[in-house]
Amino acid sequence: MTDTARSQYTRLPGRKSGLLRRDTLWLGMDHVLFVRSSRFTEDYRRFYLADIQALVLQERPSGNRKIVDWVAVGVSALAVASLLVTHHQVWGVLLAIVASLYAWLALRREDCKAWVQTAVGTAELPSLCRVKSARKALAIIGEKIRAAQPPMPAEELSRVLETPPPLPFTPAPRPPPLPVSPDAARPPSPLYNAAFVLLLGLGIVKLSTAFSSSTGFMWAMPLGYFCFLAMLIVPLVRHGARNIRGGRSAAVFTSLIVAGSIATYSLSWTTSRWQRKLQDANTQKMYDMMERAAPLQIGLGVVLLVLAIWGLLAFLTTSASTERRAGGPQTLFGPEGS
Amino acid sequence: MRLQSPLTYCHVCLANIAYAPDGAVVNCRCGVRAQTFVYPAIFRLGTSSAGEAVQAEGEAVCFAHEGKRAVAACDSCGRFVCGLCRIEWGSRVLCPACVNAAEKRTDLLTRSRPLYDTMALAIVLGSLVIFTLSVVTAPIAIYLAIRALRAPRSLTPRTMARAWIALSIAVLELGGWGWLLTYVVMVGAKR
Repeated sequence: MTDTARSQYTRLPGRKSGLLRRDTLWLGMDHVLFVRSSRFTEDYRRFYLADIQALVLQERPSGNRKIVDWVAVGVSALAVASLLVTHHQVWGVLLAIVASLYAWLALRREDCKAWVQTAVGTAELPSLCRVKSARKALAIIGEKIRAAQPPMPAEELSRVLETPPPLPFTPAPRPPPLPVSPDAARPPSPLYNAAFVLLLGLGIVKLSTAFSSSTGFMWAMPLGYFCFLAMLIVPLVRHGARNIRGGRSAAVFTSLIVAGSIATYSLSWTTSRWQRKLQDANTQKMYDMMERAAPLQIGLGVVLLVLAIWGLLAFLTTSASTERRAGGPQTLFGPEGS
Repeated sequence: MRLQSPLTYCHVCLANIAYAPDGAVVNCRCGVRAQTFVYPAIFRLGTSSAGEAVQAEGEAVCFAHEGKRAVAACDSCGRFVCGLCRIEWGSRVLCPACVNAAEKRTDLLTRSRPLYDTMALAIVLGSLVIFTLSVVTAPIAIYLAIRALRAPRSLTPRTMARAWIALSIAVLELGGWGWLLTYVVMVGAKR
C-alpha cells in the first residue's frame, strides 16, 4: 500500500490506553480498522462497512458511583488540607498522591461497552469505553454504513422483523447452572473476622491515644498496620492476584505499598521512641505534636472503627449467605480463584 | 446467522434485553441502558454458492471452472468468476488469484506490524539511565531505527520522528564512546 493509501485512515473518537496497551479505532475507505497496540507492535482487525450487521452500545449505570467519587474527593481534600495545616506535610503529600490516583482511576473508569456484529461474529470495541466518545464514533460509523449498504425497503424490513420467529434475534439458550462446588459451602476464613476484630480494637486504642499515652498503646499501632497489611495480602493470595483486573488491581497494590510504608515507618518510629533514641529534635517535635493533635487521633480512630465495623458486617453477611453462593469461598475480592 | 450474546444479553447481569429495532434505548433491570443499531446487512443471506452450470451456448464462463456460469468480473484483473470464485472484498469483487496476490503485496490483509521506531527509542532512552549499556544498545538502536525507516510502516498515520530521534541519540552515544576511547588512548600514549 502506498503512503497515499495509508493516509486514508482517519481517527475515530475514543481510546483506551494502559501502560502496555492502547486500543484505537480508525475509519478507512470501506472499513473500520481496530488497532490494538502493545507499544512495540500493532495488531489490526478490519470490519468492512458493507458487512456490519449491527452496532451495540450498553451504558453502565452511574448510580451512586459519582456520589461516592465526589465524597471521596471531598474527604481526601479535607484530609490533605488538615494534614498540611498541622505541619504533617509528609502524610499530606502521601494522601494527596493516593487521592490523585483514585481520582485518576475514577476519571478513566469505563462507563460503557460497544460491540460490532458481522456475519462472522460479534467483536467488542474496547476503545469505545466512554459514552460521549462512543456515541460520536458510532454516529460516524453508522453514517458510513448506511452509505455503504443499500437501504432495504420499509415493507420488506417490517416483514422480516415481524416474521415469527425472527431468527437473528432469538437469544441463545442460557447454559444450565454450574454444579455447586463443595468448596462453595466453605465459609470465609476466620482470619478475616479476627483481623477485623483486631482492627476494631485498634480503633479504640487510637481513640484512647488522643487522651493518654502509654507503652501498650504505642506498640498497638504498628501491630495494627501490619494487621491491615495481612488483611490485604491473605485474600489477595487466596483470590489470585492475576484475577484482579484493571483499576481495582492498581488500587489494591497501591494500598499495599502505602500500608506497607506506613507500617514500616510506624514500627521504626515506635522502636526508636521505646529505645529513647530520638536524637533528632525535629522528629521529637513532630512526635510531640502528633500526641497533642487530639482531633487527628480521634479522626484516625473513627476511620479505623468504621473500617472494622464495615468489615465485620460484610463478612458476617457473607458467612450467612455462603450456602446460597457458588464459585468457591469468598475473599475480599470475590470468590476465591474466580 | 444468529446474534451473539452482547446483542441480546446485558453485559453486567446477563439478563435478556428486549430488542428495539429502531435504535431506541432499552433499560435492563440492573440499570444498563442498551442501544442496538441494526443495518440491512443483517438481513442479507450469504451470497456464496457452488456456482450454476452453463445453461446455453455462448454464455460467459468462469475462468477457473469451465462448466460454471460467470456471475461477475474481477475488479482487479477482469477475469470472469462464478458464484464459487466470487469474493466480495469490501465494495469490490475479486477472484481468488487476486486475493492471493494482494496478500503478498498490499496491506489489505496485514494483521500485525512491529513498531521498530518505538523499540529503538525505548532502547536508546533506557540506555540513558545506565549509560554504560549504550555500548551495546546504541548499535542495536541504530539498526532498529534504520529498519523502521525502511520497513513497512504502521497502517495508521504515524511520523518517523521516533526513529530519527533514536538514531540521533544513538549516533551521539557512539560518538561519545569514540571520543572517550580516543582520549584514553591519547592520554595513555602521552604517559
